Amino acid sequence: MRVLGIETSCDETAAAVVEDGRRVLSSVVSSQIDLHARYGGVVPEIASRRHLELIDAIVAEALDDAGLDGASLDGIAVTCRPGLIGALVVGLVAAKAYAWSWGLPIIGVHHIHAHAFGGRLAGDGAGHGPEPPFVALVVSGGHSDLLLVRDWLEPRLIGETRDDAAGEAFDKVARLLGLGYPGGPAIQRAASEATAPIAMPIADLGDSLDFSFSGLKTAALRETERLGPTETRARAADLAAGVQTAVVTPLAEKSVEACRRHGVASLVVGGGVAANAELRRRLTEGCAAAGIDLVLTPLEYCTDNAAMVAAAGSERLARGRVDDLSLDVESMAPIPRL
Amino acid sequence: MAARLAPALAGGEWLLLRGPLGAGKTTFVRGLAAALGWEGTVRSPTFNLVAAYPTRPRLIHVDLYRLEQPAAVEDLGIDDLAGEEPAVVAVEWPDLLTDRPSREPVLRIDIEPSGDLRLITLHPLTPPAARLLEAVREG
Repeated sequence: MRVLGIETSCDETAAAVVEDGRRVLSSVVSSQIDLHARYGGVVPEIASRRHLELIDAIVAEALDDAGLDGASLDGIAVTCRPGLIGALVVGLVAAKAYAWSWGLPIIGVHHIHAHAFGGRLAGDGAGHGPEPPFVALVVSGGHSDLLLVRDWLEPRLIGETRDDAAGEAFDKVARLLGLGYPGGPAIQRAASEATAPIAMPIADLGDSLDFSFSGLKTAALRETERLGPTETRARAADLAAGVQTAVVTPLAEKSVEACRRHGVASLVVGGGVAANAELRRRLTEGCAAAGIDLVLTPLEYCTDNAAMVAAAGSERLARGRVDDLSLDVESMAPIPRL
Repeated sequence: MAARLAPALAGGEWLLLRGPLGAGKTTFVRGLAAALGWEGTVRSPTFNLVAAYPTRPRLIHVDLYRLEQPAAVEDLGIDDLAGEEPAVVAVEWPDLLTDRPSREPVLRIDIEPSGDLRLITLHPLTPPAARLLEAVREG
């Protein structure tokens, strides 16, 4: 079974072909980061227009790389929720056009569910990722979710951010420190040069598996005010290191705790922030100590991509859960709580 | 404060929330959403710029923190999210929002942190917004 995946929910235009839900035959991603860096973030109208200009060529390249044409596909999977409305619409309309003209089923995919499928693309290339049950940590600029996946198609939310996402905290602090956009890589780079990290507070949410990063940006702001502009510049690396620790620590600790609490032996980690080296190190340590099988999504499938969308779509297709041309987009699509 | 404002909102109002990082702008919107009947979480909409809540009237939460250029309302897809009925639009970091017509109720809400306290000042920016001030005063 071969499925073409299409992803345009934010600032990446992506297409990929995945075989049997695991083997990536091709994966093409065109990022708009350079374009949006000038504006300090994603600009919805620019994002939509750019997706529209790129989508056809990106799909053609994905098919070409896979050595396939439309006739040899079994279905088309597309991210239809959640995300920027205008951006999602471009991907969906393109997917509908391909599905209609090639006579293929269309499969709508939830962006966060798709990140949980990153684990299937991990491993030895033949895609021997974990099977349910497992816990998935999905951390990005827009999300910080802990999912309990007992059934691939019915993930349940067991933890989420109550305010800002982890990547958003990085973006905001990076901007505060003048380190640039996107903030995650900038913070990691700066933090690697820290000599005396400045400790930052971690929200105490009791037993909850939720996260809260809103207070962190405020604490960082207070610290810059206390230090003054000159000293802030001089100690940007120390501040970045403190902020990175305060983001990474709850993510790593609560992921391990989630596995323990739900009696699950595997943890899948995906999303753009999963590329953070310090998070990977902390998770590796924590999982080793707790006897948990850690599946880090390969770096290329951490940030937004279409291979994960195709993988998620393949599972739906295999179980007959397909959509039709009335499929629509949704900007918000909360995952049900356990 | 948000709970006192909520009953006066019929849809079509613009609430411009100003205040430094960490002042409690999102917290204000959280209170507003709860007062309008939303039982879920209200997260920062910084990443997607806009979020919509199916309250009555519908609440649209906008955050322009990430923008560095003026944003026309049309570009944010607010109209699409609002749907057929007029919605309450709460905008964080509204300085880059282009001016609204004076026939629409536009209320500026300044939040100034002072230790653990918050000083909240309401400024009706258009004539139709004056009744919102009255509602809060009487509520």
